[in-house]
Order: sequence, then structure tokens, then C-alpha cells
Amino acid sequence: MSDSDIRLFRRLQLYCQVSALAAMGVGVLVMFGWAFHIGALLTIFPGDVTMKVNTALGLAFAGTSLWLLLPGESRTRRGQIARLLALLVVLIGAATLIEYFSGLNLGIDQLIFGDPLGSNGTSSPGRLAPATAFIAIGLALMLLDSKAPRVRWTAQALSLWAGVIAMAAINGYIYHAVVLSRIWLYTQVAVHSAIALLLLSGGIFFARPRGGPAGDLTGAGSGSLMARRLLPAVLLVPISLGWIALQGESAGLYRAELGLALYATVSVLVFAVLVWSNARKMNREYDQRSQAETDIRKLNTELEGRVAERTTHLVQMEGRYRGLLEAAPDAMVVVNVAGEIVLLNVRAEEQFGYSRDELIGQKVKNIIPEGFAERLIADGTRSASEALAQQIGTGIELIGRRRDGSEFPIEIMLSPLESPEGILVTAAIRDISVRKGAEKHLAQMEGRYHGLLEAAPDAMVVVNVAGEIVLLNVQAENQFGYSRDELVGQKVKNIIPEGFAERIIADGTRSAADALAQQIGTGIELLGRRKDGSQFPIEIMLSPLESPDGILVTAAIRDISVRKAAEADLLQKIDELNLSNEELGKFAYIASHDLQEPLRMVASYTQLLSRRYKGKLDAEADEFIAFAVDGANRMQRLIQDLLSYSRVGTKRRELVDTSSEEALQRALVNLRSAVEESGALVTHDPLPTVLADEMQLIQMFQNLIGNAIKYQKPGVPRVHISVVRNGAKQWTFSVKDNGLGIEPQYFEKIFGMFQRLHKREEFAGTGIGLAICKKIAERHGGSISVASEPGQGSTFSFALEGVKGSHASQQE
Amino acid sequence: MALEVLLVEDSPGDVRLTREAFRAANEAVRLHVATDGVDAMAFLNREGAYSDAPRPDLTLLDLNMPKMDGREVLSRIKGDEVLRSIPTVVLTTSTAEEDIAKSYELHANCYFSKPVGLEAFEELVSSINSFLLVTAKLPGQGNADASDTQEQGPEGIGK
Repeated sequence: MSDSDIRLFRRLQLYCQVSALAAMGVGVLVMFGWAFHIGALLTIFPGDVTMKVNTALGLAFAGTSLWLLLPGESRTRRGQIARLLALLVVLIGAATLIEYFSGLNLGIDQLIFGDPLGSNGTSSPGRLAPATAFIAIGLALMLLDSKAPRVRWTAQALSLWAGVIAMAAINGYIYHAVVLSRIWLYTQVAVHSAIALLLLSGGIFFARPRGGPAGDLTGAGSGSLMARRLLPAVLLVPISLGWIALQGESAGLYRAELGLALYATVSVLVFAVLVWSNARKMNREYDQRSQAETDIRKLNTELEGRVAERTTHLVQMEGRYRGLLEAAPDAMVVVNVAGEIVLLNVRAEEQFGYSRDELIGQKVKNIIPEGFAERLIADGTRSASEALAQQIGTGIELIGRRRDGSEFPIEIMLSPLESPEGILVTAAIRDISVRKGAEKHLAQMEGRYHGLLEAAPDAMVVVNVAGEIVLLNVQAENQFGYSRDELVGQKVKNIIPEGFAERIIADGTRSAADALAQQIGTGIELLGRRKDGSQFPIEIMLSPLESPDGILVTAAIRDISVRKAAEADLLQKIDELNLSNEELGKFAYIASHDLQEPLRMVASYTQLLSRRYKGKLDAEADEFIAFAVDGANRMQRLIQDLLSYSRVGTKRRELVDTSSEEALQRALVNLRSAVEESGALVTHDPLPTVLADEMQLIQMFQNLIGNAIKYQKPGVPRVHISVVRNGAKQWTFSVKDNGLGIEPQYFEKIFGMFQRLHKREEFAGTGIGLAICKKIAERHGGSISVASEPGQGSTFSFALEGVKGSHASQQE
Repeated sequence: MALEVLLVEDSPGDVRLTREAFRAANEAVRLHVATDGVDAMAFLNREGAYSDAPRPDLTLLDLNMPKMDGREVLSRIKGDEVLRSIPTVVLTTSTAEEDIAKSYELHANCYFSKPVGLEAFEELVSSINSFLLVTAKLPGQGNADASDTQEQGPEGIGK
């Protein structure tokens, strides 16, 4: 409501009050006049029509009623009184009308006061002239606050009707047209009655200025504005012009027709000017308004634009935050200090199996039963600020509960967030089932590894590159006599003083990589030191192990005291055995040597006996002597062979470069008589220089060739000595004959001591020759073997180590 | 002229065989026998019962004997200025290299091992006789200019 509107309504209010007071005043004064017969009060112009008592009463009642109704509180007692007064006004009007039409004198006019002046200009003296006006006014007052808008409209129309009657009466006075009034209203109306009535009807019309026809005048619209502007002219201009025209006519300046024409012309002119100026003004206003409208529209558009922009920004921001929330890899739940969920993301929905709507506004305890809500809420032991301080936390491991009641391990990170709704806590919730599973698995693996470590039969010690013990097993504790705690973190030098730590640590001469490469090793024999300081032999196996803490070396440590003792024992046994063998060899030598002495006696004296007494005793004595001589001879050979055999073992000489060719020749010299007797053909390949004991090599050739010649069938014995290169350094010698040959089952047996394949009567021999050959071959680091086919001959082979660069051909 | 031969031998069987073999080889040989080293040294030094013993032209020495063995005897003979000129020959059953080497180190004039067979032994003794006693010139068997030596001999022995 604009200022001008307020002013308008205030003025109207004032006018209504004035009109009500005026009506009351006029009514009371007239009644006062009747009561005290003051004629001046009854009529304005002496001799003119007087105001009747009932008119005055009606005016007083109607004025009072309007006064009471003006504040607008019609439901109160005040309103009731006002309507009662209005009813009385209607009744006065109605009674007057009935009196008038029926011709009866109900005595209403004289009811209170008699007519002191006599009725002048009245058909029925004292009767209400504008009875209808009073009925209209009373009804209007009664209906003013009706509930139905149409009725209220009617009330205003009625007040206007009363106004028209009053104006007609006034016009009659102005134009001295009493006749007019007779035509229209039968009874003349007193001037002040008419004026009071006009005022009153206006007051009633504007008593409720916002509705009905009055509303059309008081409204803010351009129509109302125009009406307000034109109305005064419409009311005043015709009346004034008419009066002026009448005066001119009365003065005889012109005739009535000319006066009317002048009146019409001026009226048209005045109204045309009024309408034009009004139109011009309204157009200006319209322009201003439309400008204002344009401005407003522009402003509005601008505003709308701004709102839209702001909204877009907000939507964008919200979108971003939402996006951020939704994009978070973890389930996000925002909780207020009451422990209620305010916001959550899709991941939270998925993780807990609820839909968003089911969770918002719910207690967070429903999805995280313990450990979360407690952090948010201040309780007896904490203040709110302390609780807030504790809200911040990372990696708190709790249990989450899904909608189906299943539980799963979670890790939550809390951060507080100040918001208009108070402090909120954002919780990032991560499902750590997999991690927990992995941790469990890891723990299991660690347990297994630990078990494996403990189950190892050896002491196990894990050492880092700084030479510090990182891990050990119970066997290590037992072996070194320390408890675990005493060793972990200690230098490994404390338990293995030398040779281990050095391998692990890079020093001036080695790079770390070299050191690492050397860490790998098996069977390194070192000394371990127990807690009591005693030392014991150990064997360690090292293997490197890459770990997050760098390279570690696992050492399997075995106490080899027992093995070492066994080894020492074995070495001693070997020494003893060697000694014993040597003694045995010596014994064999000495025994065979000392046996020669008595043997020589037996042999010599039986021969002497045989020479001197043969033929002198009987034939039996000669035979006995022959047996004794034969026995003595065999024993002699046996003892000599035994001596040779024992010498191979006892006579250890260095193996030296030896010409096998020469050795063969010497053997053949020794065998000369046997070769000549048998007529054997002995041939040989060019023979190389070898590493050998010459005497033994001679013996070897002698024995083998001797056998080849001896074990013959009738015919010419053929013996061939050949040699082939066997590998880089070895020579394989073969002695091949065309003799009796040997059955395969005896191939092994013939190299045994005293082993013979033939009867003494067939071939003499001690059964020691090949045993000597075998011993010689072994003495030279090789072996001897035979290949043979019975009846086709035999080939004995043995290998000797060659001399560098020696070739058989060079020996020729 | 008799040839004085001292046989140092503990085995009576060998003594008899040697005696038989020398009898067959040379009638002129007079065989004296000492049965151990102590006995042999007493004979050579003409001590006790051997005060009349001749200085031998040849000594045959066995190595393995009781009381004082042949090596000790050899060592004493060759360590003695008077006795070292007596040809001393080792005659033993041993064919051991160390025995042979040791004997020659101790200045043995020769080393023979006793063969087992009778005939072989007889041949050996025959060889010793023919080579050492007949062919070889022994001290005291030189020419006129060696008369000093001849005279010295008995004197030396006599001393």
C-alpha cells in the first residue's frame, strides 16, 4: 500500500467520521429546536421547509450507527447497537412510507413534538419526505458488514441511492426548482436535512472503502485513479455551469435555449479539457509505469538470472560434493552429534546392504554397533569438546553390521565437520575383510614358517647384513646355551667367532654384491662358541633371503662334534691299520726270510744225503729222499714268491719316469732260459715312458710273460706285448698269448693269493704270481684284468700313468 | 802253505756245509770257526783260548748271530788298524738290500748270499776259493819289495 493510498484512506476515514458527527449534530440540533421551538434550528431559510422530528431522529440514529460501525468491529456489542440503531432508522422510514401511501396519520411526525410552524409545502405535514432515503440508509448500515460480498455491494448501492435523493433535493434548492422536487420526491426536504443526508450517504459509502463500488474508487488501479480525478468535476461542473447558465437567463442576458446551448458547449469543453488533460496525465503515468515496469521486468530478469546462476552454482557445488562423496573409494557416512546418519554414499549403501532412505535419520549404532557412536557423544566422563577432540581418528578397527545381520571387519577414519546443523562427523568406512583375511593368512604363513624353522633338525640362525642375529630356533638356543632373548639383536660373532660374519659384510676388498654372492655356501666348517665359552666344531650352510628389511642370511648350523670325533677316530684307525699292515708286511718279509735258513738246511742236507747215499740204501730210502728234496725245492719257491709279494707292499719307492721298453727287456733277460727252453716267440709294440717303480714293472712283465709261456698247449708259444693310449695320460698295456686260455668264471679268482687252476703235476707254481701282479697294478693306481677264451689264449691288461709328452713312437 | 780262513757262523749245519764245500774245493784251506761275534773278536785279537790263533787270510762273516752280530764284527774289524787289512767277506742268507748296502758301507770286501741248493752253495764256495784265495793277491803274498810287509805281518800279528 503506497503512501498516497494511506493518505487517501485516512482522509476517507476522517470524512466518514465528520459525516457521522454532522448527521448526529444536525439531528440533535433539530430535535433541540423542536423541543424548544427554536425555528432557526428547524429551517435554514426562514419560511422554507422545516426538518421534521423523525428526520432529525433518523439522522441522529443513522449518524450514531455509522460512528459506531466506523472502527469496523461489527461483531462486538458496539456493532450490535449500531445495527439496532440502523433498524430503527429503517422502521422510521418504513412507517413514514406507510403513512404516506395509506393516507393515515400515524402521528409519527407529532409523536414527540408537535408541528409548531404548520406544514408548508408539504402534502402531509411532518411526514418524512425522503423516507426511501432513510430506508436505504438504514438497510445499508445494517448490511454493511454482511458476509456475502453481493449483499455488501448492495449496501453501498443503497447508500448511493440515498445520496442521489439528497443531491436531487439540494439541486432543487440551488435551481429554486421546488417543482422538480415535487415531481420526484413528493415532499420537499429541508436544506440541512438534504446536506446531512448527502454527507451521511457518502460516509456510509466510504465506511468500507475497500470493497464494492467504493473499492472501485479507492483502488490503486488506473480506473480508480481516473474516477477519483474526474468524479469531483462530474459532480461539480454540471451543477455549477447549470447554476451560472440559470443566473444569466434569470438576469435576462439570454434566453433559455441559448443558456442551455452555452451550458452544453462549456460542459463539453470543460469535460473535453478534463478528459484530455487526464488522458495526457495518465499517458505520462502509463509511460512512467511502463518504464518502471520495464525496469522492474529488467530487474526481475536480472534477478532471475542471478538466482539461476546462483542455483546453478549451488547445484554444481552440491553436485561436486556429492560426486566427491560418491567417488570416494570408501563407504562414507556423515553422522551428527546425536549419532544419527545425515548423509551417506552409494558405497555405504552397498557395504551395509541398506538403501539410502532406510539409513538416513537412523542411529549409526545400527550399522556400527560398537565403538563409533561412543566417540561422538559427550558423556559423564567427557565434555563435548573432549568428545570432539576424540572424534578425529584414523585406522580405528571396528565391526560393521549389514542389514542381514552379518558382521564384517571395518576400519574407520573420522573427521569432524562444522556445519549449520552443528558439528557433523564424516566417517570413511573401509571393508577390511580381505586385509584381515590376508593378515590372518600371513599370520598363518608366519606360523607355518616358524613351525618349519622350529622343526628343522639343525640350529637355524637368521642374520642381517650388519651381522646381527634376527631370528633363531630352539635348536640354536640349545646348541649355544643361550636363551632366545639373549641372542636376538646380538652380533653373530658372539656365537661364531670367525668365518661367518666376514662372509656377510662387504668390506674394503669386496662390494656388497660380491659379499652376497659369497654368502651362499654349503659345508663350511667353523667353530661355534657356547655361552660358557666352550667351543665346538660346526658345519654351516648359508643361503641368502631377500626380505623387506634387506638381505638376510639363513644359516643352518650343525654340531659336527660327533662327526669330527668319528673322523678323528677313523683317521686313527687308518693310521693303526697302516701300521698294522706295515708290520704285517715286515712280518711276512722277516718270516719268509728267516724261513729260508732252516729250509736251506733241509734242502742242502737232503741233497747231500741223496748224493752220498743214493744206491747205498734201499730203493725206498731213495724215494723218501727224492720227496724231501722236492718238498724243499717247492718250499723254496714259495718262500721266494712270498718275499716278492710282501716286498711290493713294504718297499715303497717313488714312482719315477721309467722306460717300459727297458723294463720289458730286463724281464726277458730274467726269463731267457724259460724262453729258450719253450722256443716261444715274444714280440712287442714300441713302448712308452711311464710313471712306475721299475723293479715292480720288471716283475710284472716277468710274471705275465712267464705265465704266458708256461701255460701252453703243444706248439710254438706266441706272446705279444702291446700298448694303447687310454685318455690323455694313461697307457694300457696288454700281454697276449696263444695259450690254454681261462674259463670266464676264473677271471677274478686267478688274481687271488695261492689260487691255482692246474694240478701241481701239470704246471709247477705257487699261486702267488698274479697276486703280485695285482698288487703292483694297484700300487700304481690302476688295476689288472684278463680277457680270455679257453683254448684261444688270454690277454692280461693293466694301465699305467704316462709321462707328459711321451709317445710310444718316440721310444723306438 | 796253508790258507787260514775264519768262518764266523752260529749254525752248525752251515759250518759243516762250508767245511764240506772247502774240503771239496781246496785241500790247503784250514777252516777256523767262531760261533758268534764275541768269539770271532777273541780269535782275531788272540785273546783267551785263541792266544795261538793265526791271523786269517780271509774271514767269512755271517750277519745274524747271537751276542754280537756280523755287522758289529765287521765294524770292529774295519775300525781296527791292524785287522782292517784282512779281507772280510759277508756270507749270509739275507738278500735284503739294506743288509747289502750296510755291509759295503762298513767296508766289507764282498757280499754273498747263501744259495738254497747244495750244488749252488758248493759252487759259491768254489768261486770264493778260486777268486779270493787263489787268484787274488792277499796281504802278505806280495813280491820281494813287499818283504817288509811279510815281516811286518807276523810282527803285526805278534803284537
